[in-house]
Amino acid sequence: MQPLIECRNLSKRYKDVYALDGVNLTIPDTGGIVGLLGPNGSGKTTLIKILMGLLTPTDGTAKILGREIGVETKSIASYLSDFNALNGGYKVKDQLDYYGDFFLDFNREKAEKMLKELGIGLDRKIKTLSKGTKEKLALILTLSRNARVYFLDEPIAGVDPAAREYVLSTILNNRSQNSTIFLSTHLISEIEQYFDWVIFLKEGRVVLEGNAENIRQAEGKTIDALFREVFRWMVW
Amino acid sequence: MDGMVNECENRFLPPEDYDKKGRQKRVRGRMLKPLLKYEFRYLLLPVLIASGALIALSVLLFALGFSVNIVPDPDTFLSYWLPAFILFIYGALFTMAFPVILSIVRYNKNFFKQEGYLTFSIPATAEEHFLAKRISAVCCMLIASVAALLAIALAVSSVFALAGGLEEWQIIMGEVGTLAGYDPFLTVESVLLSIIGTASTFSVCGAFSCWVHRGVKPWMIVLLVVGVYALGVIGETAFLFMLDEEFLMNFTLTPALMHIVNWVSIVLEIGVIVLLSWFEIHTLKKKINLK
Repeated sequence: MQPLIECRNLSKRYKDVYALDGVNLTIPDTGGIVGLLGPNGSGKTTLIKILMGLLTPTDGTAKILGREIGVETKSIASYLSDFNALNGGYKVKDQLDYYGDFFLDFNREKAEKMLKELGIGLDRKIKTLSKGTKEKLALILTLSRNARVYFLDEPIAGVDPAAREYVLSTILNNRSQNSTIFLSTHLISEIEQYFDWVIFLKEGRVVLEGNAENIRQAEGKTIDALFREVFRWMVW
Repeated sequence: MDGMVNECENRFLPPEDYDKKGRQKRVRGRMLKPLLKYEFRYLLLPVLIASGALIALSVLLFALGFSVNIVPDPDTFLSYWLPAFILFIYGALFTMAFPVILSIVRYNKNFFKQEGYLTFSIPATAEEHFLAKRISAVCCMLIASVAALLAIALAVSSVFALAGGLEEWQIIMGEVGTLAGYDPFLTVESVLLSIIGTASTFSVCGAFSCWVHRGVKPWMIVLLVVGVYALGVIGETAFLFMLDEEFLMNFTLTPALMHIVNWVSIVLEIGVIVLLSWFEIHTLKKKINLK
């Protein structure tokens, strides 16, 4: 079976600074939630951006289900950026049209149902929505695709506890069957129980990777406790 | 046979996205169509509004021209006609430049700013992105150019109205018609050259944006463009100096020579477009680095 994600000696350098430094990863295609964990600046966003084809690696290779990053991988990967990348000039329904036009796996009915539950009108201009509502809209659009893999970059950072609950329940209840969610965060305690696989990134390098349950048993502590131990002396 | 079935099952894209040899198509109608839709959605309406406003202004100017026979003296006439004419000239220049400005803004915003995260998340090839941008920009430029030409024709009619009626204008238009009819190939070449020239302008703008995205400072690119232009001028001047003085004195621009000049220009412009387009597509394919 092809691994879902395979990185070999993957590096990204900005002038003299390595955002990623020789990352080697093999994540099995078993579905579930993969936690990409590390403090700010550890390379989480860089790794996701490379896997989505938004950054070109300086060195090494990255593959999704055995394919080089490109049109094929983008057709099966759904991405939520850590900021609002939606077109502010569009109405909500225009943005749904956009997704429907470009993503064959987009489920418009599902998106409309979720928007209705939140009371977001289809005729609202995106730029008139609050920051939190824009984030929810982006999440709904991302999860309304029947993708094989979802890349969610810091989906729970910077949101209040109530919104965080909504975001987490939406992620857990709306992903497509047998899919994998690749979720980056440094807020582990609330989501730790859902992790099937974890990757610890530190200064652009993988310091720990593996099945979450095996790590808990081997280390005799929670992922959250382990995270605090590994990154105790780092400036966040 | 089993191998073929497995190969098909492993494909992530619909069957029509692959050619007979199983390779991914670089340009697919199903992706180019919506890309063009969103490009035209951004560009077309503002260009049509600007073009419409210019034509309305030229109609106004045309109508004003005839008032020369009503007002008591030419000075009074010029006091309102001249400012309107100057405004029209600025309007015409703006209408021609507007699609270029809009396209440059769109190109950078849609590719290299925050919107780029969504643009490059969609499963479209670099060629499809490139073609959608170029086709829409050239079409909008042509619309603006045709509108500007129509408007200028109307406004110039007004100038001839000043000089004594429509007769002069009819003579001029008759001359233009004769010229076009005299050598239709020359007319076709000129139209072709103007379309290719438009595409070439957008290629330069696109390549400029890609260079900046790849970290080259804008002033370096300006210096390069000025340098290439200066080299061209120096080369032309040197060439003219090398020519025989008698030859230059007796030189006449024959239709045959005009055909040669046109085709050399067309080939050179196409060369520039191919080179810059390759650079653009290569950047979109291999060098994307969104901040």
